Amino acid sequence: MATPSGRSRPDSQSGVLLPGDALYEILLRLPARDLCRLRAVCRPWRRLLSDPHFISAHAGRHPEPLVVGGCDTFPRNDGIICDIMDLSGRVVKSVRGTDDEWVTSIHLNFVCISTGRRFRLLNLATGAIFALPEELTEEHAAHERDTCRFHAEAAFGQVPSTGVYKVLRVLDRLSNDHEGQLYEVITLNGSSHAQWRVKKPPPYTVRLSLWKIVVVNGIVYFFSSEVQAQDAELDRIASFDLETEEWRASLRGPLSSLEEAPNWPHRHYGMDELTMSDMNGCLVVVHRSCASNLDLWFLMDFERGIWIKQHSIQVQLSVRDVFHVVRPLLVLNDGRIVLFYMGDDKGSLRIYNPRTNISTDATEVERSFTVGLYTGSPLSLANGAS
Amino acid sequence: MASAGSGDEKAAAAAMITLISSDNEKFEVTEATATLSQTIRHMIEDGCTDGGVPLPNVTSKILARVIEYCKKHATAAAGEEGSSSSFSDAAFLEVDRAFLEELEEFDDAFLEVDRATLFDLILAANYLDIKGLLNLTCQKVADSVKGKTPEQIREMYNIVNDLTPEEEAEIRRETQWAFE
Repeated sequence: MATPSGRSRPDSQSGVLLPGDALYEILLRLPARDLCRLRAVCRPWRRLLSDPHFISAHAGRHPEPLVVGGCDTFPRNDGIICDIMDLSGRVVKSVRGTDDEWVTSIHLNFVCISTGRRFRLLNLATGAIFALPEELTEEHAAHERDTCRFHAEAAFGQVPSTGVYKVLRVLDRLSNDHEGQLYEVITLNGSSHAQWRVKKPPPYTVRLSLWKIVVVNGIVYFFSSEVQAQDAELDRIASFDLETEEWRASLRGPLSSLEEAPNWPHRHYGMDELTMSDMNGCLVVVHRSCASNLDLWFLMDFERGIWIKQHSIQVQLSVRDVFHVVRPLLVLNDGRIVLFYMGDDKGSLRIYNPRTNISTDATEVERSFTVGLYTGSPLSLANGAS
Repeated sequence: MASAGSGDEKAAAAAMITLISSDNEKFEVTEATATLSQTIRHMIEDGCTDGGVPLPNVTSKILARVIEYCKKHATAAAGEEGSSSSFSDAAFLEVDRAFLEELEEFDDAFLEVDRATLFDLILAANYLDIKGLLNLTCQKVADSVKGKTPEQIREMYNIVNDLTPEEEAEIRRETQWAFE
């Protein structure tokens, strides 16, 4: 193992040298933030602490997830559309965008940036950008005039079996006929010649709205506006499989599955909020009632439609903040839950302990309307001037 | 394990390994103590421990400390195996807890050494592949490094700063969050 010795000179008092192999083992046991700082000790330390082998060995020992918050450039004067933060809210890296861009989703260490119908995917780990073609497929070209030029929705994910990245794009048509939407899929194969492909419409309208869609293991889940029997179940969930590129049968939501659910949803209340999240590789339906409670329903079995309310969190929003969104991001190894609160002009990060029912003090961060996780090592993120 | 006949006991008692330090001192240890080291375990498995195991990277002073650690922890491992069969027994759990506390106290006292010895122990634990000892000693040093500034670290370990002011400024700029 070739490790730098840190060019120690004998200690005048004790003659201590810090041996290279010992240094490697010691530094492996420090948190990433300390290590970033210790790069400034000397060149050998910087070299070791920037070495990909060291970084990957360190990442295996310290799963320190980072939170990614995305927005548009409008509210901030610095051109930043995305911040990568540690769990204390310290900004590790910022990403700049152009004036008309905004972040639509954050998934698998990629940030999806949109200017309406055009999408760019930014790989946060490498900085590589995939620009997706804006043009419609040939089959859809005839609809060019009746689709909105400035709006499309997209969902990005990875097929688990092959590792291939795909994007599902949904375009609304400004027409009165029944087939109001166009559906297209693209495979990111690294070439610039990737093309959208037409997909058949599902028996429901597809809305990939903010907070109402997640991609888990290559399946795009979203709330379906399909009407079941006489009542619309507001928590019914439809999905699209990025591997087979087929729409799947819709699934009963957790609240509609309850035996006694007649009082739900309070459709006219506006106090209940239903969103989705992907936590620890699981689809989670998040139900917030009024300003006080956040129920996290985990989908345990898709085929059998089994939901389990794994957590019920007291969120303690003030009445003024009742329309704010609370987004659960992750269950940490020690059982605590990372939550992101979205305010009008600021966001905040909190860590909730289910055993004590207590959250850490909120750390105020920049406003974000899209939040996700970055699972790579903080050691490989340099905040350049870009 | 096979039923404990007198022959087996004899064999167990005879399973001693001789470790030879860099300064040629010989240490007789039981196999249970020696095999806390993965390196020695593999040597035993390969049958190449006859005539003693030379450890040219470890001095007698350090080897004595390492053996002290291994003896204590080998006993602990044996104790755990013994008690696992009566897991539900509260009295046994109580004994376990007391034993773990004792082990923790032992570890704390074990770490009360000067920095040079601590580094030598890390190197020996690394070479002999003794996970527990490596973790214990490295964590001790890591804890003393945590939260320190680069300047403080250079002072602690007499490291010459060979970075140019520009390079240092670049590191600070790229990872501002680590300096706040």
